[in-house]
Amino acid sequence: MSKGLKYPLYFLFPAAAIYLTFFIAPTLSSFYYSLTDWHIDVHEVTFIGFENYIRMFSEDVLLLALKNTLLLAVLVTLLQNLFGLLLALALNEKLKLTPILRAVFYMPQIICPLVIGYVFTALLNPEMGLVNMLLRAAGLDFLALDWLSDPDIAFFSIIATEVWRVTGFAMIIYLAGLQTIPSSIIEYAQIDGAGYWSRFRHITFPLIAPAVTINFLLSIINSLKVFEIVLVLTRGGPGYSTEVFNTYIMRHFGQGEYGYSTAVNVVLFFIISVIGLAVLSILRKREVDI
Amino acid sequence: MRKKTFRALLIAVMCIAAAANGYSQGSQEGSGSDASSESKKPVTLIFARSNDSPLTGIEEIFANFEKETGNSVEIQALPGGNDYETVIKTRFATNDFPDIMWYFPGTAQYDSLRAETNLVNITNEPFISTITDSMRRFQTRDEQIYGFPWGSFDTMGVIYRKDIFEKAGITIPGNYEEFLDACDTLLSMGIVPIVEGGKDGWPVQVFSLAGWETFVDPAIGPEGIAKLNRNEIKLTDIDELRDLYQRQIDLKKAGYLNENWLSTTYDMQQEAIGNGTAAMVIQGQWILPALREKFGDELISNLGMFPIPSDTDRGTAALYPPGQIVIPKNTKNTEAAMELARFMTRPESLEIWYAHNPGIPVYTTVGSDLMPPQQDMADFVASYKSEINIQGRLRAQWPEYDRIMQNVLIKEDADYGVEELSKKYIQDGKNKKIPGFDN
Repeated sequence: MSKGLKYPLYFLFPAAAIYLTFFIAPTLSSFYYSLTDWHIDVHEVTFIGFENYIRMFSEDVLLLALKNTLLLAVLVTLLQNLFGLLLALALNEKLKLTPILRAVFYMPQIICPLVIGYVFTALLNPEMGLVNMLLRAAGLDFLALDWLSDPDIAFFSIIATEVWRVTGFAMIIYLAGLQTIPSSIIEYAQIDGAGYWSRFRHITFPLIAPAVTINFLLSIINSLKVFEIVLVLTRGGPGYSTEVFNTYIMRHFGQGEYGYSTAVNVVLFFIISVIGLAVLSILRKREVDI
Repeated sequence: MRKKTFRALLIAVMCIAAAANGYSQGSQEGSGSDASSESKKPVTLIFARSNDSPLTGIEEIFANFEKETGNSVEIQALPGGNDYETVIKTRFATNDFPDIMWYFPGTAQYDSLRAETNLVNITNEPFISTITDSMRRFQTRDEQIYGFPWGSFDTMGVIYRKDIFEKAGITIPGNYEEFLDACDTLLSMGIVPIVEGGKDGWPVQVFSLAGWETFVDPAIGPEGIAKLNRNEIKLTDIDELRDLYQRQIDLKKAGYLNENWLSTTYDMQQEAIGNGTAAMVIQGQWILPALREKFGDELISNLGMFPIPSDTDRGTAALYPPGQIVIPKNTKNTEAAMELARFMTRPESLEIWYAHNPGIPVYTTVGSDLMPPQQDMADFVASYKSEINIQGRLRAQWPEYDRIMQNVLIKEDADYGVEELSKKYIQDGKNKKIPGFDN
């Protein structure tokens, strides 16, 4: 038994064995398979070096998927945190409806993304969807657009849906952060004559920095891995206009290009790791202790 | 301490002995007479199909099968078009097999599904001899058969409403210019000339697949196809293909397609033709059973069909072979699935199928009444020109062709289409290690 530990080290073995077998080993083997021509239609898997990685540079659709994924990650992260913070600030007040509203805003987070996708597919239907029907009823016919089939708009419809889905999660984290702030600090500031904006800027916001860090980090990682909502709403179309990394990977995997799609997955793994670590190190620096 | 060790060893030995005893009892039971009664226990077979493959009639056949054998069949409808291929290939890769399934036509699929490893070889099944000669040849590769055909030879082309044509004074176009004139007349009458289904993607590719036989085949001939198969010419070298894409773009630019073509699904295409808001749909005959189910025989008798005409004549009919049913061999219900296959190919089952899905049968033991559009095309094929759909004649496939054609219409760029298709075609040949595609 190690010094300071209240249990023997071999207690870790079962968990470590499962982790090694089902996570570390497949991850490491995927690095190897990304260097092969593994394909559903051929029997022999041959080592081909970096050919799959070189091919990526000539795939315009992959570059578009990369651009879309990054744009989605940036916009969803910013909007999720903006709306999440505003909701948290509003619902941190003691109102009659506060508990109900918290549950209502958090609810999309516990609904399966596929279900949300199907609901929004119906809502955004250009002819029979509720959104366009309301717009037409309000005399705003020019705003009744083809939300999911117009290549110029579809991607932003996905972003809006995703923001709606994940905002509740950010709100809960921010609420938890807000409730850790001692009310005495706020009261002192009020006595000193600090207004709402001034209190928020100089007291509240710095003190919820850990919540900001965790929200930004999780939001970026989850947005870079976005998949189900795109799959249900547009399947990456029309054409390739809403293609993201994971729909691209799924399609090539489905076509039996296991070696190539694994290589793309490895690239996504590195992109998420690099961006995640960078965001973490930047945001950690501005955290303060009470 | 010694006592503890001894006790632990004793327990371990007892456990092993108990397990071994249980195993041997289990194997004895398994090899005994109970096994036969076990294997005759009714099973539920999973029949996988793409949700756009014809279903009418199949449920009745399965119900009869259940009555006769006690085995039931659960139909698993999976997303249609290219998504179906994706789902099935992925499931095969993870050894997650349905008991029996519908799949796309042709022996090229034997490669995709790794037939030798994954599928039951049905070459010597008695029902194989009831398949028509041409179809049996189409299902055979290296003298082996792994799938039995299900359906009829379909044709792709222009399905039109006779009443609208009559009202507009339009006759079946004798060449492409007359086809454009017909579109123009319909447009001037405020009728959508052609309903396109861009939302689902795959309907957009039908124009170029049906048009290849009319415009591209005469230009490159059988030798051109052979060269494509050896990768000795590129799709980008074929000007007629670029021209074919441009024709489809021009239809859109001229306003001959429905304005909301990108949000129109295959179902909506059917509605538009059924309700008469559109005069024509460029589709395969597989749309007809669904139209009949939704709108009845009255609509079907009001429909006609013609191939995409060429600049100089009525064009060439594009034949689309029927899909096939295959049986994965590594499932626990393989024998019951084979029993179902034999049941499905009995004359009485085939009669049920063709009664619901009329078409030229691919079995010699059954006849079928053709629907008027099918009769039009059958007459055309008998008296004029026909050719099997280009995708059935190439060894490498055209992955994501639906996406490419969606983009061709969105970008209105024929060059993009030809280049992208060529790239995908060569990559597919290379992936499959087809000779000639290695570099």
